[in-house]
Amino acid sequence: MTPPSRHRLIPGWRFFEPIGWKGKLGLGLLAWGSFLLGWHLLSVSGWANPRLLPSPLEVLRAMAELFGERGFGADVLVSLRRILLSFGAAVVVALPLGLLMGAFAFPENLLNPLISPFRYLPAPSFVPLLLMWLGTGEMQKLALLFLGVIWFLVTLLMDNTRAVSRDLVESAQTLGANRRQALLKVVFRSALPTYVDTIRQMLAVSWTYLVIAEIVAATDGIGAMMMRAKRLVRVDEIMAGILVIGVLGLVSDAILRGVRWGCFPYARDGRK
Amino acid sequence: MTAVATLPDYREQSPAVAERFRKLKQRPVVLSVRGLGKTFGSTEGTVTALQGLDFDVYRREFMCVIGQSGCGKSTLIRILSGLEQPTSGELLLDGKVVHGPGPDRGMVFQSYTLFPWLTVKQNVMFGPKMAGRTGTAVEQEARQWIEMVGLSDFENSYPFQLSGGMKQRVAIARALANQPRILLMDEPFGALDAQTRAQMQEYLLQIWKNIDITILFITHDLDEAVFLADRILVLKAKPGRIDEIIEVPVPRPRSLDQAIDPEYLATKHRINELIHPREQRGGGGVEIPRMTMAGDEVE
Repeated sequence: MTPPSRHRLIPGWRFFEPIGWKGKLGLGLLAWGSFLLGWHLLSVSGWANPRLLPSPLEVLRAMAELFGERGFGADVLVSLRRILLSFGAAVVVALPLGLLMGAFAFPENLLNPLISPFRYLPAPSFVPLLLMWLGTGEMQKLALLFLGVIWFLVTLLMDNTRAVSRDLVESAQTLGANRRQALLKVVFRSALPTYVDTIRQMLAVSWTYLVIAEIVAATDGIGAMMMRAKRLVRVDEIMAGILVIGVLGLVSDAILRGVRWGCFPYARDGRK
Repeated sequence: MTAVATLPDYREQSPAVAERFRKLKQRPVVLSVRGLGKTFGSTEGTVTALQGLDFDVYRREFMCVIGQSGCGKSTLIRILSGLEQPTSGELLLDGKVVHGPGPDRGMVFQSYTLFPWLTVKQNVMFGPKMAGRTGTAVEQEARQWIEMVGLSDFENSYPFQLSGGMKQRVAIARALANQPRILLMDEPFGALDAQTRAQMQEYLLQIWKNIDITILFITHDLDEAVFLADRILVLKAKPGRIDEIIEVPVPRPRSLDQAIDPEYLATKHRINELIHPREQRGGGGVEIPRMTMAGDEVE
Protein backbone atom coordinates (compact mmCIF):
# COMPACT_ATOMS: atom_id res chain seq x y z
CA MET A 1 0.00 0.00 0.00
CA THR A 2 1.53 3.30 -1.07
CA PRO A 3 0.41 6.47 0.66
CA PRO A 4 -0.92 9.30 -1.53
CA SER A 5 1.96 10.86 -3.41
CA ARG A 6 1.69 14.30 -1.85
CA HIS A 7 2.33 12.72 1.55
CA ARG A 8 5.51 11.04 0.37
CA LEU A 9 8.77 12.50 1.48
CA ILE A 10 12.27 12.15 0.14
CA PRO A 11 14.00 9.36 2.13
CA GLY A 12 15.87 10.82 5.06
CA TRP A 13 13.21 13.41 5.89
CA ARG A 14 10.86 11.24 7.93
CA PHE A 15 11.11 11.80 11.66
CA PHE A 16 13.87 9.69 13.25
CA GLU A 17 13.86 7.23 10.34
CA PRO A 18 17.31 5.91 9.40
CA ILE A 19 18.58 5.83 5.85
CA GLY A 20 20.08 2.78 4.08
CA TRP A 21 23.83 2.26 3.60
CA LYS A 22 23.64 3.49 0.00
CA GLY A 23 22.07 6.73 1.18
CA LYS A 24 24.68 7.08 3.91
CA LEU A 25 27.56 6.57 1.49
CA GLY A 26 26.03 8.81 -1.17
CA LEU A 27 25.40 11.70 1.21
CA GLY A 28 28.86 11.39 2.76
CA LEU A 29 30.49 11.46 -0.65
CA LEU A 30 28.28 14.38 -1.67
CA ALA A 31 29.39 16.41 1.33
CA TRP A 32 33.10 15.65 0.83
CA GLY A 33 32.90 16.10 -2.93
CA SER A 34 31.27 19.52 -2.60
CA PHE A 35 33.75 20.57 0.07
CA LEU A 36 36.78 19.54 -1.98
CA LEU A 37 35.37 20.99 -5.19
CA GLY A 38 34.55 24.31 -3.49
CA TRP A 39 38.05 24.43 -2.02
CA HIS A 40 39.62 23.59 -5.37
CA LEU A 41 37.63 26.24 -7.21
CA LEU A 42 38.38 28.84 -4.55
CA SER A 43 42.06 28.16 -4.95
CA VAL A 44 42.42 27.89 -8.74
CA SER A 45 40.02 30.73 -9.58
CA GLY A 46 42.36 33.20 -7.92
CA TRP A 47 39.67 34.34 -5.50
CA ALA A 48 41.89 33.38 -2.65
CA ASN A 49 45.66 33.77 -2.61
CA PRO A 50 46.88 30.32 -3.81
CA ARG A 51 49.97 30.69 -1.60
CA LEU A 52 47.73 30.86 1.50
CA LEU A 53 45.10 28.48 0.15
CA PRO A 54 46.71 25.79 -2.00
CA SER A 55 44.35 23.47 -3.84
CA PRO A 56 43.60 19.98 -2.47
CA LEU A 57 45.82 18.47 -5.16
CA GLU A 58 48.79 20.52 -4.07
CA VAL A 59 48.20 19.44 -0.49
CA LEU A 60 48.27 15.82 -1.63
CA ARG A 61 51.46 16.49 -3.57
CA ALA A 62 53.02 18.09 -0.49
CA MET A 63 51.99 15.07 1.57
CA ALA A 64 53.60 12.69 -0.91
CA GLU A 65 56.77 14.75 -0.81
CA LEU A 66 56.75 14.83 3.00
CA PHE A 67 56.42 11.10 3.28
CA GLY A 68 58.57 10.24 0.31
CA GLU A 69 61.55 12.58 0.65
CA ARG A 70 61.46 14.28 4.02
CA GLY A 71 61.00 11.37 6.39
CA PHE A 72 57.64 12.57 7.69
CA GLY A 73 56.77 8.97 8.55
CA ALA A 74 59.14 9.16 11.53
CA ASP A 75 57.37 12.29 12.77
CA VAL A 76 54.01 10.55 12.48
CA LEU A 77 55.32 7.60 14.50
CA VAL A 78 56.63 9.95 17.20
CA SER A 79 53.22 11.61 17.46
CA LEU A 80 51.44 8.29 17.48
CA ARG A 81 53.70 7.07 20.26
CA ARG A 82 52.99 10.20 22.31
CA ILE A 83 49.25 9.72 21.96
CA LEU A 84 49.37 6.03 22.82
CA LEU A 85 51.61 6.47 25.86
CA SER A 86 49.83 9.49 27.35
CA PHE A 87 46.33 8.27 26.60
CA GLY A 88 47.14 4.76 27.76
CA ALA A 89 48.41 6.16 31.05
CA ALA A 90 45.28 8.30 31.39
CA VAL A 91 43.03 5.28 30.88
CA VAL A 92 45.02 3.20 33.36
CA VAL A 93 44.62 5.91 36.00
CA ALA A 94 41.04 6.89 35.17
CA LEU A 95 39.47 3.46 34.89
CA PRO A 96 39.85 2.31 38.52
CA LEU A 97 38.97 5.80 39.75
CA GLY A 98 35.86 5.99 37.55
CA LEU A 99 34.80 2.51 38.64
CA LEU A 100 35.18 3.17 42.37
CA MET A 101 33.76 6.72 42.24
CA GLY A 102 30.74 5.56 40.24
CA ALA A 103 30.03 2.59 42.47
CA PHE A 104 30.65 4.05 45.92
CA ALA A 105 29.71 7.36 47.50
CA PHE A 106 32.84 7.58 49.65
CA PRO A 107 35.45 7.82 46.90
CA GLU A 108 33.07 9.89 44.80
CA ASN A 109 32.55 12.55 47.45
CA LEU A 110 36.21 12.50 48.40
CA LEU A 111 37.65 12.85 44.90
CA ASN A 112 35.01 14.47 42.74
CA PRO A 113 35.24 17.94 44.34
CA LEU A 114 38.96 17.77 43.61
CA ILE A 115 38.82 16.43 40.07
CA SER A 116 35.74 18.14 38.72
CA PRO A 117 37.05 21.75 38.76
CA PHE A 118 40.16 20.74 36.82
CA ARG A 119 37.96 20.07 33.81
CA TYR A 120 37.49 23.82 33.47
CA LEU A 121 41.20 24.59 33.37
CA PRO A 122 42.48 24.49 29.78
CA ALA A 123 45.37 22.06 29.53
CA PRO A 124 47.52 24.50 27.49
CA SER A 125 47.56 26.85 30.48
CA PHE A 126 49.75 24.26 32.21
CA VAL A 127 52.44 24.52 29.52
CA PRO A 128 54.58 27.12 31.34
CA LEU A 129 54.42 25.08 34.55
CA LEU A 130 55.23 21.85 32.77
CA LEU A 131 58.19 23.49 31.02
CA MET A 132 59.60 24.55 34.37
CA TRP A 133 58.90 21.27 36.11
CA LEU A 134 59.73 18.81 33.38
CA GLY A 135 61.90 20.78 30.98
CA THR A 136 61.53 20.60 27.22
CA GLY A 137 61.81 16.84 26.86
CA GLU A 138 59.38 14.07 26.05
CA MET A 139 57.85 13.99 29.55
CA GLN A 140 56.54 17.52 29.17
CA LYS A 141 54.64 16.60 26.01
CA LEU A 142 53.25 13.41 27.48
CA ALA A 143 52.19 15.26 30.64
CA LEU A 144 50.32 17.89 28.64
CA LEU A 145 48.47 15.25 26.60
CA PHE A 146 47.69 13.39 29.85
CA LEU A 147 46.34 16.52 31.55
CA GLY A 148 44.23 17.29 28.52
CA VAL A 149 42.05 14.22 28.96
CA ILE A 150 42.41 12.81 32.47
CA TRP A 151 39.80 14.97 34.24
CA PHE A 152 37.09 14.38 31.68
CA LEU A 153 37.98 10.74 31.43
CA VAL A 154 37.54 10.18 35.17
CA THR A 155 34.21 11.99 35.40
CA LEU A 156 32.79 10.38 32.26
CA LEU A 157 33.85 6.89 33.32
CA MET A 158 32.30 7.59 36.71
CA ASP A 159 29.02 8.48 35.00
CA ASN A 160 29.24 5.27 32.94
CA THR A 161 29.67 3.28 36.13
CA ARG A 162 26.78 5.04 37.81
CA ALA A 163 24.48 4.14 34.90
CA VAL A 164 24.86 0.40 35.59
CA SER A 165 21.53 -1.19 36.44
CA ARG A 166 21.11 -1.51 40.19
CA ASP A 167 18.94 -4.59 39.62
CA LEU A 168 21.86 -6.42 38.04
CA VAL A 169 24.04 -5.75 41.07
CA GLU A 170 21.29 -6.84 43.44
CA SER A 171 20.70 -9.99 41.38
CA ALA A 172 24.37 -10.83 41.65
CA GLN A 173 24.27 -10.31 45.41
CA THR A 174 21.27 -12.60 45.83
CA LEU A 175 23.16 -15.15 43.72
CA GLY A 176 25.96 -15.11 46.25
CA ALA A 177 28.41 -12.60 44.77
CA ASN A 178 30.51 -10.83 47.39
CA ARG A 179 31.32 -7.11 47.09
CA ARG A 180 34.49 -7.66 45.12
CA GLN A 181 32.76 -10.05 42.71
CA ALA A 182 29.79 -7.72 42.33
CA LEU A 183 32.14 -4.82 41.55
CA LEU A 184 34.35 -6.61 39.04
CA LYS A 185 32.11 -9.28 37.52
CA VAL A 186 28.97 -7.18 37.32
CA VAL A 187 29.50 -3.42 37.68
CA PHE A 188 32.73 -3.27 35.67
CA ARG A 189 31.63 -5.88 33.16
CA SER A 190 28.27 -4.24 32.70
CA ALA A 191 29.74 -0.78 32.11
CA LEU A 192 32.53 -2.02 29.82
CA PRO A 193 30.82 -1.22 26.47
CA THR A 194 30.07 2.32 27.64
CA TYR A 195 33.66 2.66 28.90
CA VAL A 196 34.84 1.88 25.36
CA ASP A 197 32.50 4.56 23.98
CA THR A 198 33.88 7.12 26.43
CA ILE A 199 37.47 6.13 25.70
CA ARG A 200 36.82 6.48 21.97
CA GLN A 201 35.41 9.96 22.39
CA MET A 202 38.20 11.11 24.68
CA LEU A 203 40.80 9.74 22.31
CA ALA A 204 39.49 12.24 19.77
CA VAL A 205 40.09 15.01 22.33
CA SER A 206 43.60 13.70 22.88
CA TRP A 207 44.35 14.09 19.16
CA THR A 208 43.19 17.69 19.32
CA TYR A 209 45.83 18.43 21.98
CA LEU A 210 48.61 16.87 19.95
CA VAL A 211 49.56 19.97 17.97
CA ILE A 212 49.54 22.13 21.10
CA ALA A 213 51.88 19.68 22.79
CA GLU A 214 54.18 19.68 19.76
CA ILE A 215 54.22 23.42 19.15
CA VAL A 216 56.32 24.21 22.21
CA ALA A 217 59.95 23.15 22.26
CA ALA A 218 59.45 20.20 19.96
CA THR A 219 61.77 19.09 17.19
CA ASP A 220 59.84 16.05 16.03
CA GLY A 221 56.25 15.03 15.60
CA ILE A 222 53.46 16.15 13.27
CA GLY A 223 52.99 19.43 15.16
CA ALA A 224 56.68 20.31 15.00
CA MET A 225 56.69 19.74 11.25
CA MET A 226 53.72 22.08 10.92
CA MET A 227 55.47 24.80 12.93
CA ARG A 228 58.54 24.51 10.69
CA ALA A 229 56.30 24.74 7.63
CA LYS A 230 54.68 27.89 9.08
CA ARG A 231 58.06 29.61 9.23
CA LEU A 232 58.57 28.86 5.55
CA VAL A 233 54.95 29.74 4.68
CA ARG A 234 54.37 26.25 3.33
CA VAL A 235 50.61 26.20 3.76
CA ASP A 236 50.36 23.00 1.70
CA GLU A 237 52.53 21.20 4.25
CA ILE A 238 50.55 22.58 7.19
CA MET A 239 47.37 21.33 5.56
CA ALA A 240 48.98 17.96 4.86
CA GLY A 241 49.76 17.73 8.59
CA ILE A 242 46.16 18.57 9.48
CA LEU A 243 44.97 15.95 7.03
CA VAL A 244 47.25 13.29 8.53
CA ILE A 245 46.01 14.05 12.05
CA GLY A 246 42.43 13.84 10.81
CA VAL A 247 43.01 10.51 9.11
CA LEU A 248 44.84 9.05 12.12
CA GLY A 249 41.99 10.23 14.36
CA LEU A 250 39.42 8.63 12.10
CA VAL A 251 41.36 5.38 11.96
CA SER A 252 41.71 5.18 15.75
CA ASP A 253 38.00 5.95 16.07
CA ALA A 254 37.16 3.19 13.59
CA ILE A 255 39.37 0.71 15.46
CA LEU A 256 37.61 1.40 18.75
CA ARG A 257 34.21 1.23 17.05
CA GLY A 258 35.27 -2.15 15.70
CA VAL A 259 36.34 -3.30 19.16
CA ARG A 260 32.98 -2.17 20.56
CA TRP A 261 31.09 -3.95 17.79
CA GLY A 262 33.12 -7.14 17.92
CA CYS A 263 33.55 -7.57 21.66
CA PHE A 264 30.05 -6.61 22.76
CA PRO A 265 27.65 -8.15 20.23
CA TYR A 266 24.88 -8.09 22.83
CA ALA A 267 25.17 -4.32 23.24
CA ARG A 268 24.99 -3.28 19.61
CA ASP A 269 22.50 -0.58 18.70
CA GLY A 270 18.91 -1.55 19.33
CA ARG A 271 19.62 -4.73 21.31
CA LYS A 272 17.98 -5.05 24.70
CA MET B 1 -23.36 -8.96 44.14
CA THR B 2 -26.25 -11.41 44.55
CA ALA B 3 -24.15 -14.33 43.30
CA VAL B 4 -21.67 -13.61 46.08
CA ALA B 5 -24.26 -14.25 48.77
CA THR B 6 -24.53 -17.88 47.71
CA LEU B 7 -20.76 -18.49 47.91
CA PRO B 8 -19.48 -20.47 50.86
CA ASP B 9 -17.08 -18.80 53.25
CA TYR B 10 -13.60 -19.98 52.37
CA ARG B 11 -12.99 -20.62 56.08
CA GLU B 12 -15.58 -23.40 56.18
CA GLN B 13 -13.02 -26.03 55.26
CA SER B 14 -14.06 -29.48 54.18
CA PRO B 15 -12.41 -32.29 56.19
CA ALA B 16 -10.08 -32.97 53.25
CA VAL B 17 -8.94 -29.35 53.08
CA ALA B 18 -8.51 -29.12 56.86
CA GLU B 19 -6.40 -32.25 56.75
CA ARG B 20 -4.26 -30.80 53.96
CA PHE B 21 -3.40 -27.71 55.96
CA ARG B 22 -2.87 -29.69 59.18
CA LYS B 23 -0.27 -31.74 57.31
CA LEU B 24 1.31 -28.64 55.78
CA LYS B 25 1.86 -27.12 59.20
CA GLN B 26 3.51 -30.29 60.46
CA ARG B 27 6.30 -29.86 57.99
CA PRO B 28 9.55 -28.18 59.10
CA VAL B 29 9.57 -24.38 59.02
CA VAL B 30 11.93 -23.11 56.35
CA LEU B 31 11.50 -19.38 56.77
CA SER B 32 10.41 -17.79 59.98
CA VAL B 33 9.66 -14.09 60.29
CA ARG B 34 9.59 -12.74 63.85
CA GLY B 35 8.31 -9.27 64.77
CA LEU B 36 9.66 -7.83 61.54
CA GLY B 37 9.42 -4.06 61.16
CA LYS B 38 10.89 -1.46 58.85
CA THR B 39 10.82 2.31 59.11
CA PHE B 40 12.29 4.65 56.54
CA GLY B 41 13.64 7.94 57.80
CA SER B 42 13.49 11.05 55.67
CA THR B 43 13.68 14.79 56.24
CA GLU B 44 9.88 14.98 56.42
CA GLY B 45 9.75 12.40 59.19
CA THR B 46 9.69 8.64 59.36
CA VAL B 47 7.45 6.25 57.46
CA THR B 48 6.62 2.85 58.88
CA ALA B 49 6.63 0.48 55.90
CA LEU B 50 6.20 -2.70 57.87
CA GLN B 51 5.17 -3.35 61.46
CA GLY B 52 5.22 -6.46 63.61
CA LEU B 53 5.12 -9.15 60.93
CA ASP B 54 5.03 -12.72 62.24
CA PHE B 55 4.65 -15.72 59.99
CA ASP B 56 6.20 -19.05 59.04
CA VAL B 57 6.68 -20.61 55.64
CA TYR B 58 6.76 -24.40 55.67
CA ARG B 59 8.91 -26.68 53.58
CA ARG B 60 7.69 -26.98 49.96
CA GLU B 61 4.91 -24.53 50.66
CA PHE B 62 3.86 -22.07 47.98
CA MET B 63 3.00 -18.83 49.73
CA CYS B 64 1.73 -15.72 47.97
CA VAL B 65 1.85 -12.22 49.43
CA ILE B 66 -0.78 -9.82 48.20
CA GLY B 67 -1.84 -6.32 49.10
CA GLN B 68 -2.58 -2.87 47.73
CA SER B 69 0.27 -0.86 46.31
CA GLY B 70 2.16 0.77 49.14
CA CYS B 71 1.44 -2.01 51.63
CA GLY B 72 5.13 -2.93 51.84
CA LYS B 73 5.13 -6.11 49.71
CA SER B 74 8.32 -5.16 47.95
CA THR B 75 9.97 -3.97 51.16
CA LEU B 76 9.12 -7.32 52.72
CA ILE B 77 10.68 -9.38 49.95
CA ARG B 78 13.72 -7.11 49.82
CA ILE B 79 14.24 -7.71 53.53
CA LEU B 80 13.75 -11.46 53.09
CA SER B 81 16.34 -11.49 50.31
CA GLY B 82 18.74 -9.52 52.48
CA LEU B 83 18.92 -6.51 50.14
CA GLU B 84 17.50 -4.37 52.95
CA GLN B 85 17.92 -4.56 56.68
CA PRO B 86 14.87 -4.65 58.95
CA THR B 87 14.70 -2.00 61.69
CA SER B 88 13.20 -4.50 64.11
CA GLY B 89 12.59 -8.20 64.38
CA GLU B 90 14.49 -11.02 62.81
CA LEU B 91 14.56 -13.51 60.01
CA LEU B 92 15.28 -17.20 60.51
CA LEU B 93 16.14 -19.62 57.75
CA ASP B 94 15.98 -23.23 58.96
CA GLY B 95 16.01 -21.81 62.47
CA LYS B 96 19.18 -19.74 61.99
CA VAL B 97 19.22 -15.94 61.89
CA VAL B 98 20.29 -14.55 58.52
CA HIS B 99 21.72 -11.16 57.63
CA GLY B 100 22.39 -9.79 54.16
CA PRO B 101 21.87 -11.46 50.80
CA GLY B 102 23.04 -15.01 50.21
CA PRO B 103 22.74 -17.94 47.83
CA ASP B 104 20.47 -19.76 50.33
CA ARG B 105 17.63 -17.45 49.25
CA GLY B 106 17.07 -17.24 45.51
CA MET B 107 15.42 -14.14 44.10
CA VAL B 108 13.56 -13.48 40.86
CA PHE B 109 12.88 -9.81 40.16
CA GLN B 110 10.05 -8.24 38.20
CA SER B 111 12.46 -6.48 35.86
CA TYR B 112 14.63 -8.56 33.57
CA THR B 113 17.91 -9.03 35.39
CA LEU B 114 19.81 -11.54 33.27
CA PHE B 115 23.40 -10.47 32.68
CA PRO B 116 23.29 -9.31 29.05
CA TRP B 117 26.94 -10.23 28.37
CA LEU B 118 26.44 -13.86 29.38
CA THR B 119 24.68 -16.62 27.47
CA VAL B 120 21.74 -18.46 29.00
CA LYS B 121 24.05 -21.21 30.26
CA GLN B 122 26.61 -18.76 31.63
CA ASN B 123 23.83 -16.88 33.41
CA VAL B 124 22.65 -20.08 35.07
CA MET B 125 26.24 -20.92 36.05
CA PHE B 126 26.78 -17.48 37.62
CA GLY B 127 25.81 -18.48 41.17
CA PRO B 128 27.94 -21.66 41.34
CA LYS B 129 30.83 -19.70 39.81
CA MET B 130 30.61 -17.05 42.52
CA ALA B 131 30.90 -19.87 45.03
CA GLY B 132 34.10 -20.96 43.31
CA ARG B 133 32.58 -23.99 41.59
CA THR B 134 33.60 -24.55 37.98
CA GLY B 135 34.10 -27.43 35.60
CA THR B 136 32.00 -29.87 33.64
CA ALA B 137 29.89 -30.95 36.63
CA VAL B 138 28.62 -27.40 37.08
CA GLU B 139 28.00 -27.11 33.36
CA GLN B 140 26.07 -30.37 33.41
CA GLU B 141 23.93 -29.13 36.28
CA ALA B 142 23.28 -25.86 34.50
CA ARG B 143 22.08 -27.81 31.46
CA GLN B 144 19.64 -29.70 33.66
CA TRP B 145 18.17 -26.49 35.08
CA ILE B 146 17.86 -25.07 31.59
CA GLU B 147 16.12 -28.23 30.48
CA MET B 148 13.75 -27.95 33.41
CA VAL B 149 12.58 -24.53 32.23
CA GLY B 150 12.32 -25.87 28.66
CA LEU B 151 15.07 -23.77 27.08
CA SER B 152 17.62 -26.40 26.04
CA ASP B 153 17.64 -25.07 22.49
CA PHE B 154 18.65 -21.66 23.77
CA GLU B 155 21.51 -22.46 26.16
CA ASN B 156 23.99 -20.55 24.00
CA SER B 157 21.66 -17.63 23.23
CA TYR B 158 22.10 -14.19 24.73
CA PRO B 159 19.29 -12.57 26.74
CA PHE B 160 18.55 -10.03 23.99
CA GLN B 161 17.57 -12.95 21.76
CA LEU B 162 14.89 -14.16 24.21
CA SER B 163 11.30 -13.07 24.80
CA GLY B 164 10.22 -11.69 28.16
CA GLY B 165 8.75 -14.98 29.32
CA MET B 166 11.90 -16.88 28.32
CA LYS B 167 14.06 -14.37 30.20
CA GLN B 168 12.07 -14.95 33.36
CA ARG B 169 12.36 -18.71 32.93
CA VAL B 170 16.13 -18.35 32.73
CA ALA B 171 16.01 -16.12 35.81
CA ILE B 172 14.17 -18.91 37.66
CA ALA B 173 16.72 -21.49 36.49
CA ARG B 174 19.56 -19.18 37.53
CA ALA B 175 18.13 -18.75 41.01
CA LEU B 176 17.48 -22.49 41.39
CA ALA B 177 21.00 -23.41 40.26
CA ASN B 178 22.23 -22.24 43.68
CA GLN B 179 19.88 -24.80 45.23
CA PRO B 180 18.41 -22.21 47.59
CA ARG B 181 16.25 -23.12 50.59
CA ILE B 182 13.57 -20.72 49.41
CA LEU B 183 12.77 -18.99 46.14
CA LEU B 184 11.64 -15.38 46.55
CA MET B 185 9.72 -13.98 43.61
CA ASP B 186 8.85 -10.28 43.37
CA GLU B 187 5.97 -9.99 40.88
CA PRO B 188 8.06 -11.96 38.39
CA PHE B 189 5.37 -12.11 35.71
CA GLY B 190 4.17 -8.54 36.19
CA ALA B 191 5.75 -7.29 32.97
CA LEU B 192 4.40 -10.11 30.80
CA ASP B 193 1.28 -10.14 28.67
CA ALA B 194 -1.76 -12.07 29.92
CA GLN B 195 -1.25 -15.24 27.84
CA THR B 196 2.44 -15.56 28.62
CA ARG B 197 1.71 -14.91 32.26
CA ALA B 198 -0.83 -17.75 32.42
CA GLN B 199 1.69 -20.06 30.75
CA MET B 200 4.41 -19.03 33.17
CA GLN B 201 2.15 -19.72 36.14
CA GLU B 202 1.60 -23.28 34.96
CA TYR B 203 5.33 -23.71 34.29
CA LEU B 204 6.12 -22.49 37.76
CA LEU B 205 3.68 -24.91 39.40
CA GLN B 206 5.25 -27.76 37.45
CA ILE B 207 8.77 -26.83 38.52
CA TRP B 208 7.63 -26.42 42.11
CA LYS B 209 6.03 -29.86 42.01
CA ASN B 210 9.14 -31.53 40.64
CA ILE B 211 11.81 -30.18 42.97
CA ASP B 212 12.18 -29.65 46.68
CA ILE B 213 11.69 -25.90 46.82
CA THR B 214 9.71 -23.50 49.00
CA ILE B 215 8.33 -20.44 47.22
CA LEU B 216 7.32 -17.01 48.48
CA PHE B 217 5.68 -15.12 45.66
CA ILE B 218 4.64 -11.46 45.65
CA THR B 219 1.79 -10.39 43.40
CA HIS B 220 -0.97 -7.85 43.14
CA ASP B 221 -3.09 -10.12 40.94
CA LEU B 222 -5.88 -11.93 42.83
CA ASP B 223 -6.23 -14.72 40.27
CA GLU B 224 -2.49 -15.32 40.22
CA ALA B 225 -2.43 -15.63 44.01
CA VAL B 226 -5.38 -18.02 44.20
CA PHE B 227 -4.12 -20.10 41.29
CA LEU B 228 -0.62 -20.54 42.71
CA ALA B 229 -0.73 -20.47 46.47
CA ASP B 230 -1.21 -22.88 49.33
CA ARG B 231 -1.63 -19.91 51.60
CA ILE B 232 -2.00 -16.23 50.82
CA LEU B 233 -0.60 -13.59 53.15
CA VAL B 234 -2.77 -10.50 52.79
CA LEU B 235 -1.03 -7.27 53.79
CA LYS B 236 -2.74 -4.11 54.94
CA ALA B 237 -1.18 -0.72 54.22
CA LYS B 238 -0.08 2.17 56.45
CA PRO B 239 1.69 0.69 58.25
CA GLY B 240 2.22 -2.58 56.38
CA ARG B 241 1.01 -5.44 58.56
CA ILE B 242 -0.64 -8.83 58.21
CA ASP B 243 -4.38 -8.59 57.60
CA GLU B 244 -5.15 -12.27 57.21
CA ILE B 245 -3.46 -15.49 56.15
CA ILE B 246 -5.81 -17.25 53.76
CA GLU B 247 -5.65 -21.02 53.36
CA VAL B 248 -6.64 -21.63 49.74
CA PRO B 249 -9.09 -24.56 49.64
CA VAL B 250 -8.80 -25.10 45.87
CA PRO B 251 -7.45 -28.64 45.34
CA ARG B 252 -4.29 -29.44 43.39
CA PRO B 253 -3.31 -30.03 40.66
CA ARG B 254 -4.62 -26.62 39.71
CA SER B 255 -5.96 -25.77 36.29
CA LEU B 256 -7.45 -22.68 34.78
CA ASP B 257 -10.84 -24.49 34.63
CA GLN B 258 -11.07 -24.17 38.41
CA ALA B 259 -11.50 -20.43 38.09
CA ILE B 260 -15.28 -20.89 38.25
CA ASP B 261 -15.33 -23.34 41.18
CA PRO B 262 -17.14 -22.05 44.29
CA GLU B 263 -14.10 -22.38 46.56
CA TYR B 264 -11.96 -20.50 44.03
CA LEU B 265 -14.50 -17.69 43.79
CA ALA B 266 -15.02 -17.59 47.53
CA THR B 267 -11.29 -17.21 48.15
CA LYS B 268 -10.96 -14.54 45.51
CA HIS B 269 -13.96 -12.72 46.88
CA ARG B 270 -12.49 -12.74 50.38
CA ILE B 271 -9.18 -11.25 49.23
CA ASN B 272 -11.05 -8.69 47.22
CA GLU B 273 -12.99 -7.68 50.33
CA LEU B 274 -9.77 -7.39 52.29
CA ILE B 275 -7.75 -5.35 49.86
CA HIS B 276 -10.57 -3.28 48.38
CA PRO B 277 -12.87 -2.55 51.33
CA ARG B 278 -16.46 -1.74 50.34
CA GLU B 279 -16.20 1.94 51.29
CA GLN B 280 -13.35 2.42 48.84
CA ARG B 281 -15.15 0.96 45.84
CA GLY B 282 -17.33 2.58 43.21
CA GLY B 283 -15.27 5.25 41.53
CA GLY B 284 -13.80 6.39 44.80
CA GLY B 285 -16.33 9.23 45.10
CA VAL B 286 -14.87 11.22 42.21
CA GLU B 287 -17.52 13.31 40.49
CA ILE B 288 -17.08 13.12 36.71
CA PRO B 289 -18.81 15.95 34.82
CA ARG B 290 -20.96 15.03 31.84
CA MET B 291 -19.28 16.24 28.68
CA THR B 292 -21.65 15.03 25.95
CA MET B 293 -25.10 16.01 24.83
CA ALA B 294 -25.52 12.95 22.63
CA GLY B 295 -28.81 11.09 22.96
CA ASP B 296 -27.65 7.48 23.19
CA GLU B 297 -27.51 6.69 26.88
CA VAL B 298 -25.11 4.18 28.35
CA GLU B 299 -25.74 2.25 31.51
